[in-house]
Amino acid sequence: MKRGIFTSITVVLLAAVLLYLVSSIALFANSMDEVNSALVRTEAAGAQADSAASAIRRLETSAAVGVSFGGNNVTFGQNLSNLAKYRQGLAGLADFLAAYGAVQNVSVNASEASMPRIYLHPQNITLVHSAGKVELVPQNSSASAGSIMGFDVLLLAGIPTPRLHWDQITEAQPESPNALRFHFGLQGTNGTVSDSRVLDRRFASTLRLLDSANQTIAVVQSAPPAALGFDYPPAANNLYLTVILQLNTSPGEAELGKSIVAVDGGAVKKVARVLLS
Amino acid sequence: MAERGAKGIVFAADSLAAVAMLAFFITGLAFLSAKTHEDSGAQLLLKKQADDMLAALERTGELPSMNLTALNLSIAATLPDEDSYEIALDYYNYSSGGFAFSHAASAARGNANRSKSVAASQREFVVMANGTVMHYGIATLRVWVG
Repeated sequence: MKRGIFTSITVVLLAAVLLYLVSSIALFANSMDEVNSALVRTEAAGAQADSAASAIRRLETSAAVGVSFGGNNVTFGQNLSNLAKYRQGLAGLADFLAAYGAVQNVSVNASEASMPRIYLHPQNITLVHSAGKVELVPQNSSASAGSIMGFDVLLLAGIPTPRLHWDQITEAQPESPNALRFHFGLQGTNGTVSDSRVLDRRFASTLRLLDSANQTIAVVQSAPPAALGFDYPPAANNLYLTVILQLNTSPGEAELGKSIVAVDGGAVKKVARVLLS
Repeated sequence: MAERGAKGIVFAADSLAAVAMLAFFITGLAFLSAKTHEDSGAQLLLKKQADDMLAALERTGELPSMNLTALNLSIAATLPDEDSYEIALDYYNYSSGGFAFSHAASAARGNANRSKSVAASQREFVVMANGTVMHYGIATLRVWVG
């Protein structure tokens, strides 16, 4: 009788152990399945972030600012008349991604992207657009402002060629450590005009573009430590600005905004950068 | 003797129960193990191929070019020969009222057998002309083996 009870208890325990093992295997198999679905979600979020970043990059380089590297030079080419189209296109793209994206929780940081604001790494130089103004702003350090050797500012404008007038200028010797090479060239509807100087980066210098009635059309300004500003009428048509930034080091990458795309796929969240070169 | 015979039946029943449980355990293990091995690895590979294909087409500018013939040739040349595919492109226009469907285009290699495992990838893109967005587009690439 006792043996029977003992045997029954043993069998029940054995069955419990077996059931425990089976359920453990089931849990393990289920967790393996979850790994696969997590991989699918991760892949989907990554593809969505890449898709959004690529579309923004294409829009940006086609409509706003094209960036190219050549040795230690960085060229920013931009059709200033196109910025309104760019902003409109970007707003449409953000809506499109939100409505039709494969992962629908896609957001674009419009404050960073719509200006547009371009960061040059590792020199920490920022190209900032605002209404009627383009600025190249380095940080006040040897690695940032100190890496800028000079600027070429080239303008193609569908207006009668203006004359150039320096409001203020402080020049330096070419061999001076404070020398900042500056070249300005403009092609208007009736010819070209240009000027080349070696400026002193410690002082502001201002070049004004005047029409035949001595009215200011645009202003180019160099400001300490090595910033460059270009003011123009926001409604100007046919205004193509090219700024060639001469550095003493190789640029690493140019980024539109900072991590401006965010994808929220529930369990998987991802941010993406828009690299322009 | 009768008591010992009864015990023998109990032990035999116990043994059978234990063997049955063991068989159940091994069968369950084999089933679940097979299910794990039947995972979506192949499916993931197809999905990755589809994602990468669309990304490459976007990088080369073929996706926003609206040239379906060139796009189809590129896909056919890039995907493995054993893969079949179907590419579908939907173009939308944007106005203040929202998005309006403009037109669609598609191309395929192989017959889509829906009983087969199909991996799909989607990519949104913009078609630019003279600095303006001409269309907002959606490319859907379905890939399957066979």
